[in-house]
Amino acid sequence: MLFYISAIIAIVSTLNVIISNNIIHALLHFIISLISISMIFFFIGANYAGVLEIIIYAGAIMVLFVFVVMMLLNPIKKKLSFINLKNWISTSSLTITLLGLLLITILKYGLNNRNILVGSTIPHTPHPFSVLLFTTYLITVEISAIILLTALIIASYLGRKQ
Amino acid sequence: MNNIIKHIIFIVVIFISGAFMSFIERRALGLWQDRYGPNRVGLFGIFQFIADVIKIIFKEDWIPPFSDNKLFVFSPIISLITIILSFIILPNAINNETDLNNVGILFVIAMAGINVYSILFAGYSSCNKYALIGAIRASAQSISYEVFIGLSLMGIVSISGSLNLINIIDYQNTHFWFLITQTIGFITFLISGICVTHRHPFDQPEAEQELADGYHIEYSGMKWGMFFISEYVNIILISILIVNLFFCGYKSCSGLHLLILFITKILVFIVLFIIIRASIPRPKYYQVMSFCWKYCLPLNLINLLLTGIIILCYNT
Repeated sequence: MLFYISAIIAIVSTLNVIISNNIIHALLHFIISLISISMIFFFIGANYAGVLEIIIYAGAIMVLFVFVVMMLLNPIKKKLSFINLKNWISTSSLTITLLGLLLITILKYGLNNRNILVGSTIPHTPHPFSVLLFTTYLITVEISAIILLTALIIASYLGRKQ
Repeated sequence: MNNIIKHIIFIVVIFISGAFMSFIERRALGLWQDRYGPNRVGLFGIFQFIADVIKIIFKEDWIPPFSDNKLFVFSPIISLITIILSFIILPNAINNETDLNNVGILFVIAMAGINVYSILFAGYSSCNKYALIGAIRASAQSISYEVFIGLSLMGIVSISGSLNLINIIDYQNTHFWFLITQTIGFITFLISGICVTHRHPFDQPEAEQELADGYHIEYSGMKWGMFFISEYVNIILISILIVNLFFCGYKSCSGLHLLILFITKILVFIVLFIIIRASIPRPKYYQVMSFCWKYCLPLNLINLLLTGIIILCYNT
């Protein structure tokens, strides 16, 4: 029951992101949808994933989005509309294709894979997760660290005094 | 049903102690600055907070016509709810075993992360230059000091091997207080705690001289009251966390003297918050930010590195 409530909230708020005229309201709806997705993680027992979702996406990335939008444009009086016919046709055709693919996958494999996490024997604590990060996925972690380092250097280069 | 009543009582107690904090603060500040605080209502003015609450509740609930009214109403609610939610993970008499205990400290950090939105949206929706500047300052400050709230606790987490507060307290009971080994972590946590609650030396977002009142300049009545109470509840939360993480905390419900000791420790830190407000002048904004990134970050990383090395040597 709780799963369905948070799933419906996630879908409605994500729709609102697309429809909304006010860019800050769109961002707020996006944050709500991220939090409701993390609620789903909590319900299936993956606390760690849920908390990480809140910390990284809702707590760090979206704050920067809101921050930049607030600094660069004052959107209270302006009504920004992202929906004109040209964009609408191309994006909706792409979305319909994706939806079709998703439906085909669901029809083929069924929806009963929802309790993958619940059935697994690994406890949902940070420990097994971090062990996996430093053994199986070591190369991925290293590459992402190098990318972040480059981003940091570039940011400090752009932000230097002339 | 029994559980729900317990939780409601718990929340009400938090609220009342948050409101009572304002009286303690004004009275203590008066004492130290050689003047009378509020001393008219009740014995020593002890019922002053009730008078304040009644006044705030009966004020007109005004929403400025030029504001973005949905967000304007929404943001004080976020600020209060996220802080009350963080109390879930504290070990107390009501719940010793919740699922959330696995992620313990991370949950507090997550809630502090969401708490930033209350300030951002309050500043944006007020449609006021002072509020906007205050919100930008406050959010930049909160984001950068939240990094150190996390980073300063990682030493503790790696020593005790758990994010669970109960395990951390047990470890301290059997081994040593984390104040001894994690002194840098303690100092950083205290400073960033003051910063995240926007208390005095770090209250540039609300600086009266420059920004009138920062992000809550347009708020009045109970909506302002929610920001106000959430600040005091946040102080209580940070003090409880400090006691639990660095000063051994409160070991289940065994013995009245332990409970009294625990409450005394918390009160010491609450008074410390007030003393810091009374004594230290306000630095400039860029000084706060450069202190954060130039001193706290390297110190904490070195601290974490040394802790890791010592754990490795000790284990092998």
